[in-house]
Amino acid sequence: MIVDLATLVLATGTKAVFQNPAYLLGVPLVALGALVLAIALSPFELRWPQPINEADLDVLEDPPEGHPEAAEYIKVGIFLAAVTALEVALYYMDLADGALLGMLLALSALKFVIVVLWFMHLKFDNKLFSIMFTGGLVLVAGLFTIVLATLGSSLV
Amino acid sequence: MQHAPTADVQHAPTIDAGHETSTGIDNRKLLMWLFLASECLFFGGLIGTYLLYRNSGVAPPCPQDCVFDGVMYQGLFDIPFTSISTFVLLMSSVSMVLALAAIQRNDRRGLGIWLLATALLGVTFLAGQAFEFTAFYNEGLTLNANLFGTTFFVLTGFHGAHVSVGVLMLVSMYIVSQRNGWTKEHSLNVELLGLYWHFVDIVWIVIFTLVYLIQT
Repeated sequence: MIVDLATLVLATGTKAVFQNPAYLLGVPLVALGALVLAIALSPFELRWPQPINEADLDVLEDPPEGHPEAAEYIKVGIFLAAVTALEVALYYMDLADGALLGMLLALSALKFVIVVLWFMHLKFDNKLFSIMFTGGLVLVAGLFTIVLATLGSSLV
Repeated sequence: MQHAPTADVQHAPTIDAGHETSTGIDNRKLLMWLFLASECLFFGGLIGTYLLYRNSGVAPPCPQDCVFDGVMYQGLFDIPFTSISTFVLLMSSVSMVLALAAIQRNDRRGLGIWLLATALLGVTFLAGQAFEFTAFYNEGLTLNANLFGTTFFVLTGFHGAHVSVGVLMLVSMYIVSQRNGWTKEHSLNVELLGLYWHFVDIVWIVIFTLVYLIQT
């Protein structure tokens, strides 16, 4: 399954590059993302020019209580990238419209929730923030329902 | 006349909160979340409008393959390219949260590196958007070409404007933090900018799915 998926993604990417050279623009972008990930995951500490004044050196401390370590953020980032790749792969698969719509919406919602909970710290922060943000989302859902149900949409 | 600090003030939530609040939460953070809640409605309105009108065009070009007057027109969206842009913006969220983690550990150098990485990824995303807009324009899609063009450019243009503002704030924060020698006591500033940046990211998560991937 994974091999088939990888083959599909690779074949699609190669075909697309030959069809439109503009896709080559994506190569440095992928390389940039890979470089950032490689730096982030590297077990070796990067050596930057050291300041002359030793007093300028920062004293490293532990993260605040309740907040995740940097390694956990990176794991979440890798998961989000994998979900995005899955979304794109699903787009190219020959699935029924209803099934595709449901899966894409579910994966998008999953990414949304993960970013809000981990990166925006709602999982660890004061509940008041969650109430306020959820309030905004509920209002948006109401807006969507009223507008799309009243005027009709090609989505539903 | 000097006043001795009270016990409540000494236990204020953050060192630079200035004073005690009735909620026990820093006012700036509360304001940022209120702003983000209002932004939900702003982008919700734009996305709803796009969904409503994207297939109401009476003239090409269209988001997906369409037929007008018996002539087949190829869809404009370039999913592999937009997928890469989406990946870039996702990675910028990772680097932003790593910047926050760095300053919370009192690592000013790490903060600088990750802030610049986030700004660089943001600029890359904007470059991709500029490329996409140019390609669409060359295909005949303008703001007033049809309803798809109007709603698409307004929605993605406002998102791009938010990313641009974010990049400016990131670069400004890099300069100020390195010049003024920020420590972990300033981590709330980074957290607030991070909230804004992650919000821009989640808006794109929704746009990527509803606008690009779901085409009915």
